[in-house]
Amino acid sequence: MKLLADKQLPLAQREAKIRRLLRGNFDFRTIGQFVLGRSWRQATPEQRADYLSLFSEFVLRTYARRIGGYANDAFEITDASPLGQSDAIVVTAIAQPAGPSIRAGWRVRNVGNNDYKIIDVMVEKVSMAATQRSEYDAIVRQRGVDGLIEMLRAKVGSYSAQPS
Amino acid sequence: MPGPYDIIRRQRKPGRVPVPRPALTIAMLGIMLGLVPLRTVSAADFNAGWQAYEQGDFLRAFNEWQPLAEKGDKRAQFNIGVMYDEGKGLRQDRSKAIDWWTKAADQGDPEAQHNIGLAYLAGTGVSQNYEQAVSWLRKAADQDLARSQYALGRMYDYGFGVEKDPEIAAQWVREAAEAGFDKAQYNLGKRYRDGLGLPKDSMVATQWFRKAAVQGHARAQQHLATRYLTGDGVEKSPTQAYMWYILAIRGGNKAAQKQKDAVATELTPAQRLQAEQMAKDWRPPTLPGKKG
Repeated sequence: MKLLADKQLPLAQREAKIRRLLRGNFDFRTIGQFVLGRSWRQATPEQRADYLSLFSEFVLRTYARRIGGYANDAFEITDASPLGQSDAIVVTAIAQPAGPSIRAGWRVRNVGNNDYKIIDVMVEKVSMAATQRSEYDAIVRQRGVDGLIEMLRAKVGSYSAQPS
Repeated sequence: MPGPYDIIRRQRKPGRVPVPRPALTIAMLGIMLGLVPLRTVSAADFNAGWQAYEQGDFLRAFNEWQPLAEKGDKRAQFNIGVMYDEGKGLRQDRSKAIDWWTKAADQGDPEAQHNIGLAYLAGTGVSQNYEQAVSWLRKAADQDLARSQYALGRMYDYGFGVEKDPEIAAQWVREAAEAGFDKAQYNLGKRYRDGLGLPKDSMVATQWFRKAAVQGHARAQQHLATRYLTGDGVEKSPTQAYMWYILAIRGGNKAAQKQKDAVATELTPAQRLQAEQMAKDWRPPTLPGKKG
């Protein structure tokens, strides 16, 4: 986690590095399919591909921005415990100079060969995947799968701060 | 007006003595010697804010930009909007983000217009509204902002906020693709492949997939690889296919894994090594158009 403290790198590059680091560690197919719920079966192959690629981009962007901002702070694993047959929860804390540290639980699954992938993130004991699932279900009801895809496209397509 | 309590203080460590910034010192020296006109002081403020932002010192960035934004500097207004939108150093407040972006957008700032358009599209900080989304995206697209042109094109594809029209969609996507936006290039490749809003053309489809692939677009890399395998719009080359599959997987495209394994059986060990080496040496070029 050295790169988090590397203040020499511009913020956008720090975030891009974290994105690359996280990308191999998420099981986007498992999360994305769970989050889309019953609409997954109704979606066309093209919609599924669009959705999965935008959903992964959205998740990576969200966490890279959260983590990438903490240039000065320590990021450490504070706890790990098994959950059921093949899962485990890894608890991390980002220490802040002032105020309580920010804690998150990363639910990981053994996907074979002792390779663990993140399948959910818990913040304040609330599952992000479950929260997104109900949010996405409401959007699909109102605006269809295409509406959800466009919503994700909007969320990953905005401009960040500009140097001039 | 936001006060200091809005800021989550996380960067300042007690007892740290502020160190003079060399850029600022040089600017001050310039002013004293009469070399630099005084008005560059305000530019220095913006740059000092940017420097702080890049280092993750969001409190200082906010303090540099906020007075400029209040005075009407649209770049500072835009960036403060981003800080509220992303919750960078500030408590996330999307409607405040919209307020600041609107000030910048009314002065013609295309990035602000774009972000407001997307906020209406997603319903973040404002009530979701496709017509408003289209209207803001069009303002930015008319100012040649590639991402907005692409987003507007997709609205015509889906018929969100406008009447569905694949031909107008194709025109906007083309503008963005020609400006170098990788997602638009990939989309234009699919349009030429399927004849969506323009005449089918397999060769041209391959060219657009290649442009996006070269910029590191993982799905375009996978498509290009498959076309090298089938000889669709390009001369067949399993070695090239193998290399592009490797790059697509590296870019996070898991679907390419099976395809790569299948091609591996068609290659000699020497060809495989060559493709692996090519993939290893491959670097995406830093193109000015990439940012869109």
